[in-house]
Amino acid sequence: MENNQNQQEQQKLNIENQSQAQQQNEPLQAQPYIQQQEIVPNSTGALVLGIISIVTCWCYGIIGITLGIIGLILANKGRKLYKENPNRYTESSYKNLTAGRIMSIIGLSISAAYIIFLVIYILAIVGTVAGLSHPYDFYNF
Amino acid sequence: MWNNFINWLESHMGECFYHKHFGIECPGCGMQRAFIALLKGNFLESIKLFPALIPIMFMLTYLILHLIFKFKKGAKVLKISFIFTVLIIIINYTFKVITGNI
Repeated sequence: MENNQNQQEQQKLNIENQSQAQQQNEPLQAQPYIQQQEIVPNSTGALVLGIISIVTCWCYGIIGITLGIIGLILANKGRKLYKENPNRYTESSYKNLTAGRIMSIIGLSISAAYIIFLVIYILAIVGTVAGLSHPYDFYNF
Repeated sequence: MWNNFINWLESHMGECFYHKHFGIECPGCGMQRAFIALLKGNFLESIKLFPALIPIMFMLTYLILHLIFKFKKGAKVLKISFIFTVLIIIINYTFKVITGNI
């Protein structure tokens, strides 16, 4: 809806500009032709994956990292396409894409941090257990 | 009917992989219990068990609504609520680790 309105306004503006230019007998300036704008590819996917990467924090780490990486790759692809010609895509979908990108990055880094924490924690436990001399201490642990 | 559904959910709770094998709770542990508490209507208990559940549910519903209706500030709201949720999860988990309720 919004895009259509924008387009209509743009067309009106174009027509007005043309008529003004014709009245003033000035050479027509090349107006950038507004195409039918489309959404940036992968924007929805990146957004959804970014959010799901933190929602699946139950037992996470693995799921969060996978979803974060996929979301980041999708978002970067879409970003590249958008940067190549920004006029072709709608701005709202680009906002979705950036939001998805940020979410994927956060989800990814937090999952990674959690995995590192977990490894350290388990190593600490193993270290303590290995350091115990008497088997009874093991049960007491 | 509703009670039966809740009972069914309660008897079919999955156990956390990390909790099962290492005895360590993950940052998402307590989510199912909190969800069941929420279904029963105990908001306070749900928040105690897993404070990030309500923001997460809000975020998911908002995401679906945003994908359908395309709100103007949808992406921004989602971003902010996401950061908020992440902060809650991190604080909750650090608190758990420090107090030893892991």
